[in-house]
Amino acid sequence: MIRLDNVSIRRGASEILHGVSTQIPTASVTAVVGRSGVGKTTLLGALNGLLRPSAGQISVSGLGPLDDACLETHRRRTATVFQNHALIDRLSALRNVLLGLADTRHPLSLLPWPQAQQRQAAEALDEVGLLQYAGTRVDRLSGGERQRVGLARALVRAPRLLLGDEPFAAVDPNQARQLGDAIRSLATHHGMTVILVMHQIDMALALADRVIGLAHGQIAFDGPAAQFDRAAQARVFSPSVSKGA
Amino acid sequence: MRLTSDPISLLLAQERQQFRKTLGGQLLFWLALGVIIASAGVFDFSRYTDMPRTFGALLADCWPPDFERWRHWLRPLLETLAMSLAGTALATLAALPLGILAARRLGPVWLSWPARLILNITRAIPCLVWGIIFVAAVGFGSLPGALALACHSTGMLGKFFAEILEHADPEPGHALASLGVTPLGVLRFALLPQCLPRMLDVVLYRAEHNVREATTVGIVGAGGIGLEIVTAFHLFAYREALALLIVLLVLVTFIDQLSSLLRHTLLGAQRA
Ligand SMILES: Nc1ncnc2c1ncn2[C@@H]1O[C@H](COP(=O)(O)OP(=O)(O)OP(=O)(O)O)[C@@H](O)[C@H]1O
Ligand SMILES: [Mg+2]
Repeated sequence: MIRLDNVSIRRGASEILHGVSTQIPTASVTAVVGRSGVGKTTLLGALNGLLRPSAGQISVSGLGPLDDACLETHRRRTATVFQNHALIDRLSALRNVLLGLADTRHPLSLLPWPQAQQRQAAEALDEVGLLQYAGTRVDRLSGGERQRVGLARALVRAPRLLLGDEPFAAVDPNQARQLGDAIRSLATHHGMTVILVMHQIDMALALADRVIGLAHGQIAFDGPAAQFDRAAQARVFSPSVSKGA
Repeated sequence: MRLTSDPISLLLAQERQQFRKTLGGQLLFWLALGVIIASAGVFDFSRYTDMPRTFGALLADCWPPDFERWRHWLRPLLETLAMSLAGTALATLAALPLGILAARRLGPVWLSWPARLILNITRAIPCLVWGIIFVAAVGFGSLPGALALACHSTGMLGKFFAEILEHADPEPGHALASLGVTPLGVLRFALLPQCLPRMLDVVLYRAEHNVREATTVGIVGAGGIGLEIVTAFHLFAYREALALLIVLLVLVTFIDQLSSLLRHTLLGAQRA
């Protein structure tokens, strides 16, 4: 379980999230929704430690409050799919997926990647349907293919916590459903905790157990996916500035 | 954020103002450039009157090139090649850690400051001066030449390495950091793979440059083909000097071809 207590996050001069509190159960799939620029990517950044809360605290079950001492342990159990993919253009798809295992290698090692890890990476590529592109430079791939390479780089770690920043944004609906099912089963059968930022509400409702709706830097909806009805959606996506106290 | 009166015209007005501001700066730039060129005496046309005649006389004296002593040039030629390649290799080895430390946001401040200082000093001292120093320190031959080239090239390569690393896309590095990869691992697995082609480019360019530069340091006693050229000039053997210059041209062209072949095989192979 991951707990956020009054977490506020600043980026540059402005505070993006103001005192967010919620709990995310283990082995569940949570969808984070909200208008563009509301702070969804920012929230994921706090969960993988790329951004530090300016106030409040994030706790992970088994580790306690996230601080310098346990951050690395937390990160080694975590994988993030980035909104902009964050791949290395001139490396092949397989090489990029292998980078998902880079925390297991010594930085100064000159040895080639171990056979077992190469196999793992190839299997992860197969899982996202890209095995035939394993040797292709990723800057020669389409947007959706690049996104799936990013997803494979996260899945190859077999993480306990999967953070996805619109991981299906550039993927066609059929494929998105397949990948969603695969992630769903990892959560159900392997106890992976999944937090996905999603723009397509219908897909979020089909895939997620819970929905967190962000509006104006705060949580405007937090509950079971089934309760995220039209009225709740209107509250999350309304453009008017109706800040709660 | 809400803009009140017509935001688009406001934006366009800002752009116009921006242009007017840079216009003054541009005029000043071109004016300064003109003054600087003039201060070198480039526009003093009376100085050029003798030039065509001197060039003509020199050309007449050195034509046709005299290749008769070519057997004696093989060794110096190899020496030049060896010292330039050895100098480049040593410089690359030294420039890699120094460049990494000097790169902004990569090295810790207390290390990046001295690294930058070393790079500046090695670069500021001309290769010829390094040559004189090393000839005094270790004697004549290609060793002082290689060391001189290494010292000067370290400064230049290190600075370029640092700059290339600073301009790498930080996103893949952030992605690896978010997995618990250490800063050293981020450098190795995310930054270096991105930068390798451009770093290889500057190393190869520097190797080409060093073949030419090796001729210059040869003049101060570091051996090689440079010494032969200077000697020929001193003996007024202009026809031999021209032959040597032609040989040098062939060598440099050969290195140029070799490095483009190398660039192609090392980097082109990864394209699918
Ligand atoms: N590096 C940064 N420095 C300062 N402000 C930033 C930075 N990155 C993002 N912001 C601001 O933070 C706010 C939230 O950004 P964030 O990327 O979290 O939005 P998002 O909800 O993920 O949006 P989208 O759906 O478009 O991806 C935005 O208003 C953005 O302008
Ligand atoms: Mg985002």
